[in-house]
Amino acid sequence: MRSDAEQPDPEQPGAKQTSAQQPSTEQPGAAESDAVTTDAVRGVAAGSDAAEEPALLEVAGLSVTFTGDRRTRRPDLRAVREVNLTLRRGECLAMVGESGSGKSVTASALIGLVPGRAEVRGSVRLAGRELLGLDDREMSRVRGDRIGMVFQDPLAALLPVTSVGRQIAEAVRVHRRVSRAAALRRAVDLLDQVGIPDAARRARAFPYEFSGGMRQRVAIAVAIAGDPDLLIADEPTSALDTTVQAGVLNLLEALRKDRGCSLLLITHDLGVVARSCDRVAVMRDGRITEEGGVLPLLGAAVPAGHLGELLAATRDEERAAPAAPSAAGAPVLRVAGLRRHYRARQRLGRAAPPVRAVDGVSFTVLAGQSLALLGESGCGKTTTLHEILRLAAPQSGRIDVLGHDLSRLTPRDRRELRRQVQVVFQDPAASLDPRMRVGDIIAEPLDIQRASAAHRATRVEELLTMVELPPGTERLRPGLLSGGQRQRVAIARALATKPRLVLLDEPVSALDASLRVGMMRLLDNLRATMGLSYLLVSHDIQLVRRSADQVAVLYLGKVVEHGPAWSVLENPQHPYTRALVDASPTTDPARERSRERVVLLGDPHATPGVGCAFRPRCPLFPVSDEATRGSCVTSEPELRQTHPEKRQFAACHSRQLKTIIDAY
Amino acid sequence: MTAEPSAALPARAGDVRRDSLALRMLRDPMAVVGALLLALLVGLAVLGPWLWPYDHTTQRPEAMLAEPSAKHWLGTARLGEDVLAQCVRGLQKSLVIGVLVAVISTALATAVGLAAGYFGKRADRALMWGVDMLLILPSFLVVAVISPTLRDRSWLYMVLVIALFQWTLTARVIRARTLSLRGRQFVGAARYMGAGAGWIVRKHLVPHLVPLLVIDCTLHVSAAILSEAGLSYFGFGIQAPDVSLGSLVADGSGSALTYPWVFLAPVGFLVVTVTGVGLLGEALRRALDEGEAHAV
Ligand SMILES: Nc1ncnc2c1ncn2[C@@H]1O[C@H](COP(=O)(O)OP(=O)(O)OP(=O)(O)O)[C@@H](O)[C@H]1O
Ligand code: SF4
Ligand SMILES: [Mg+2]
Repeated sequence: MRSDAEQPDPEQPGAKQTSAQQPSTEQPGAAESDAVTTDAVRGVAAGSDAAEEPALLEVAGLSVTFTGDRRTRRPDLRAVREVNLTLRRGECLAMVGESGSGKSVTASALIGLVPGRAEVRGSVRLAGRELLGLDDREMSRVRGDRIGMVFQDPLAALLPVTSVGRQIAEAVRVHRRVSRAAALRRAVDLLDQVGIPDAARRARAFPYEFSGGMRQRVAIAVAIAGDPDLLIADEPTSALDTTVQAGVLNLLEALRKDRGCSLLLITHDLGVVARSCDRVAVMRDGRITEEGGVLPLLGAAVPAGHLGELLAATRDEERAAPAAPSAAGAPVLRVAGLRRHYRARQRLGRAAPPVRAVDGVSFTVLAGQSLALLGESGCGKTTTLHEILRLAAPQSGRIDVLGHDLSRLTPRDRRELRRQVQVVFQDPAASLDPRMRVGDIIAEPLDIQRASAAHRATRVEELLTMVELPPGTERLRPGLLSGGQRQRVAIARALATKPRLVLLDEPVSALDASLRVGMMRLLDNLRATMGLSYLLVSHDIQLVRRSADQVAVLYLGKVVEHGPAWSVLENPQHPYTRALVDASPTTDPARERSRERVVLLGDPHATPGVGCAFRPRCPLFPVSDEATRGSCVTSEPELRQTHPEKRQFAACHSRQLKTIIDAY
Repeated sequence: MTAEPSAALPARAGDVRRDSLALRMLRDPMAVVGALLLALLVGLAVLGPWLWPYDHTTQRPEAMLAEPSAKHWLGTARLGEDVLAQCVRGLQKSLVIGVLVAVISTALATAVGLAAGYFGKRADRALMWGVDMLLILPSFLVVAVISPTLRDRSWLYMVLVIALFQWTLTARVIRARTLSLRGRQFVGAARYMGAGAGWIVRKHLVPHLVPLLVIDCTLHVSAAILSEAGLSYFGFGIQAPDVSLGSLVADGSGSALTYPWVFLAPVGFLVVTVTGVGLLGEALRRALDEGEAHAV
């Protein structure tokens, strides 16, 4: 949001030297010695920063054990074990680790809000004051005054029926004795600081009127209302789109610099760490396995330890060569001018304009190929998938699957197509019936098609091998499997009827980073060996680059750019694609801190009605010439070939994308 | 493959394993007590007539309103009937009525709740309108009005009438659960595999409703027993010469102070029965909830 956060600011009084701006000067040797146990790091720190003021937050030997239940024979669970951490003023410490490694429990222990029955031991000192063992009243004062919290889901943290201004004012009044009016004024001020445009008016709005990114900004405003010394953010951007994520991260960084508060950032996204943190602590099984400066740790040629494992997974994906073009056959799926509008709810008796979830989308998937639909949430990706999956006449436009027009299907054709078209959903925990055994889940499509028992048994076995699950898995229920294993079950189920077209709805985004590569590799192999075609829905640039042949970029229900994946992502011709590519973080801290980005402002769902739908957020529009701007306002851009020899198309009036963005 | 532990089955399998329902129930003292009580009562109701020399209709004019003794453990009633024999007979009737009502109303509630929740729209509106009407109607009054016409017919009609007023709340709960289940992604996934309504109901909805149904069915048993008792108390229920626990309480209530055994014996049976069923239902709920928590 705030552009001043973009530039590295060397003149920060509170900023520590560890946030070094010169990345590659570190020798590998130094990097390694930094990447050892916590104690060693503290030794180093104590040595070099002897004159330094005491750390703001000192955590020593923190352990959290959830007490088991004898009646249900649930054993004690040691979620956090002997964790040591230090956080200096103005510093940003990232805590990374796989899901379930104890990051969130650690954070909740710091603020005295461990859920459930748990035993907390060790010491947590904030500016020299011991926090463990404070009573509830004192602790809640500390929470407001000294420590602010930001959670993953902003909606859960905000009250639905109170205007955001009032909520922030409440938070202000908890910490300061001021009049209601003064608190409200301060709330508007805070909203302004977190980058909400037109703060005075927006203060009267309710949380549901805000987009996800704006809600998170409001939650941040509540967190900083008491002017805390320490801000703890638990996955603050995981629920947000990459384009919006960049804005929220910029905001946190700006706040840290402006107010000199420290930030403890919990995340599983190493790109975020590379971009904005000074130090990183890696958690695994409740322990901190590595801790050190971000630059030496992430910048090392061969990162060591658990961090190395985490990084390897992500880097593998980043560095993977773009997908080799697959041999293409006849069209398997052809979508032309697909539209799906939803009637909006009436407001005060006036009919609201319909929501144009999908508004004229066209693309073709060829046999053996993989086409990716790329875009932010709410741009109509999933709606498009569901329109295809319904196997019924679309509201408007035409869908052909394997040569059958969906609006003229006989019941027999439809049954046959049900076998040929399958889907893998994003979250296997939701798409698998928790009460069924894996074997029955995988065989369900066969059972629905009334396959013979013998065929069923052999097929289940085959499928388990195909998705690399050990025999015996068929007897388990999905609840006992890990996320990755569950997604393999979902894939096996999709392949049971030997389909020709598989729709993949964000197939790996619910998985830990370390599992994603393996899963994508499996999907790629299956496509090659079984001659499948994929329609892949994703917001993840890296993933699209590594395994899609073609890509269609969607913005508010329209394709704004399409073409071969490598060419579109290497050389985007539409400003929106360019912004998406820019927003996608990499894990190389040096590159991450030096590169320039096109940052999108504004609400992703605002549409002007006429002209180019992207106009309100377009970074190109304000800097274009008069004539182009006129077209942007009055007419909707058509898809045009961007280069006579390339099969890349973009829908933008401006012809100077390259020059302008480079100058930007 | 990469580092993914797909080659190994989850190590967690051991600690998260779900014990069988029976095992969990056995560890719960509430369940054990409830089950024992019920077993005892059912045993008594089934075997009683063979073990005890008196029938509930046998009248011994020489021993009217006799106090409990070695011969008549619970004393005799106004016409010299053995109170224990009467109670056993009443218990039989009450249990049968309870179970029948529970089965009928649960079945009806399931059918209506599933249909309303799954098909939605028109079906939902029509069915829920019916449910609302039944909920609004003062059930006791209706029963009182129609009971004279039932008086000469089989007691089975009374079972139907009680069931008619008991299924509605359960139907609403099942409808709500169905609505939320229908929105779950695995149901959508099944639909995209080509599954029809019947398949989805059988394979994905009913299995998820089973715990709820079991618990509700149990609670219906005790509710029905109490309803029947209430009706009989006011003379609308079981008619002489047949008896139920409710009609026995009604008959005995007049002499509760003078000949307390005539009143207290059926009341005691009633309380123990309802308590037993209630304990079992509550324990079932707990055990199933626990299973649910593990199955997430
Ligand atoms: N209230 C609770 N009762 C019992 N166990 C809990 C409770 N809350 C968390 N746990 C357990 O503690 C461990 C650490 O959980 P935590 O939420 O901190 O993981 P995380 O690293 O934040 O993962 P994610 O990235 O998914 O948020 C897990 O095994 C979790 O199941
Ligand atoms: S058409 Fe105009 S507003 Fe739309 S993307 Fe191009 S330059 Fe921006
Ligand atoms: Mg977490």
